[in-house]
Amino acid sequence: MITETLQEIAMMHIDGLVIRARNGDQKAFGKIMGLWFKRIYNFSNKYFGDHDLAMETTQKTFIAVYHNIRKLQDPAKFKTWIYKIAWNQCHEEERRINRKNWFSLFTSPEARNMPEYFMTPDKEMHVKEIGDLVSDILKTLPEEQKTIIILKEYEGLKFREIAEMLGISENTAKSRMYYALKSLRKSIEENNIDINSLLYGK
Amino acid sequence: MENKINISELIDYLYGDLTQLEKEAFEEKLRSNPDLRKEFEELSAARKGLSSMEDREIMDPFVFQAGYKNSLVNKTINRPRYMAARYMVAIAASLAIFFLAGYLTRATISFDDGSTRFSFGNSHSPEKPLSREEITGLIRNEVAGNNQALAGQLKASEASFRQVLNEHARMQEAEIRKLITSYTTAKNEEIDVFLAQLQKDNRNLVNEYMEQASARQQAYVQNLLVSFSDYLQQQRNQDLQRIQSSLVTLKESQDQQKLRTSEILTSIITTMNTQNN
Repeated sequence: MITETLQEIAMMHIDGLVIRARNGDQKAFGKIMGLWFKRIYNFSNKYFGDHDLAMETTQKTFIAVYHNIRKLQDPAKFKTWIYKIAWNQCHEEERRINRKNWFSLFTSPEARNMPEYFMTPDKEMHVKEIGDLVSDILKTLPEEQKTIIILKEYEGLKFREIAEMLGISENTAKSRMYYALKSLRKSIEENNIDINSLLYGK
Repeated sequence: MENKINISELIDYLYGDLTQLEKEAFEEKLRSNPDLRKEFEELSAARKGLSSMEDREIMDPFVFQAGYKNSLVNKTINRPRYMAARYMVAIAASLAIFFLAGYLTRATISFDDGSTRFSFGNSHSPEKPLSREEITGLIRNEVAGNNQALAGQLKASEASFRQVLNEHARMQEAEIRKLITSYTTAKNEEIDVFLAQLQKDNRNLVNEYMEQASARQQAYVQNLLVSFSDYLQQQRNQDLQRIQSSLVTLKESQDQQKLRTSEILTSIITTMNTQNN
């Protein structure tokens, strides 16, 4: 718990590290990566529901960060900036998967929309667990609703930050959140998931 | 219009983004507006569902450090520089393998009379094509030969089939004869014993039947006699009742006659007395 708090504090005071990394300090960049790797991985993992894809996207995100950190004018906006890069990478990876699946004549339409990880017997064994079911449901939501849920619920971004990141108004962000939660609630009901067995918070 | 839900306000309340005053005002709306309350409960339930999905723990990445050639970033950063060379080497290697395989298999590609031929080994130029008559003659000869061979095969099959049928008929006849012989050689003594036993059984059966029949007949006659005597007794009772009732009726008519006679006599006497007076 203390470690997390320290990490959170470090993440809040990342401006100095960003400035140093922008000036070519590779140690500073290494520290930024150490601080943000888990967050970006979990963002990608929730986006795809797949470890391998999440790892690949995370790595690509940090490579893009390394190449573009000099272009970041305001270090205070590092948080939204890095999430935007991660989101773009996820987007790009999803398009690549869809292109790949388009050529596969023997892949069902449902399977084309989900990574192979979800098809393995190992996954089938655990799919009954509520977390996995919610993850599956999340994957079926429209891309903009899924992104907003992950950014708000799991990454804790403010609606102002989300709006800035996605290039939309704050009210649009809230509206998308509202419809995302409605869709999610509907899917949870359709899948007969017992929400009452869950507890709030972690 | 008052009941219209303000999505922005609802989301802000859900995520605790309202000021204390705004929060109190919204809670008042929640209490007075069931639709709004329902919406809020649904969104809360969805958020509750999301809480079941937790972060995954992963190992810390191999942090980028200057001088470490194998770090994640270094590895990937250096990649583009070598990518073109790697592609060229790969293409060259593929071409080399292709030509080597072509040389070893003596593959040849030729273009002749508008057609492309890909062949391995020694290439032969195609022979002169046969004329229509030659092809027809070849087909006719082939068909005649085939027909002849088929007729021969048919004849041979028929002969062997007949032979098999005859053999089977002979074998069946022998079997039937053997069976008949075995039945006729049964011993006469055994037949006599069997007949005697049969007669004895029949006799016993007839005796038993007769005994049972006479017993049943006796019982039937007895029942019949009892029924007849009952019938007679009943008839006599009925006759007695009829006689009795006839006697009673006769007596009643006599009594009436007597009464009438006495009335007449009384009347005559009265009349006589009246006349005398």
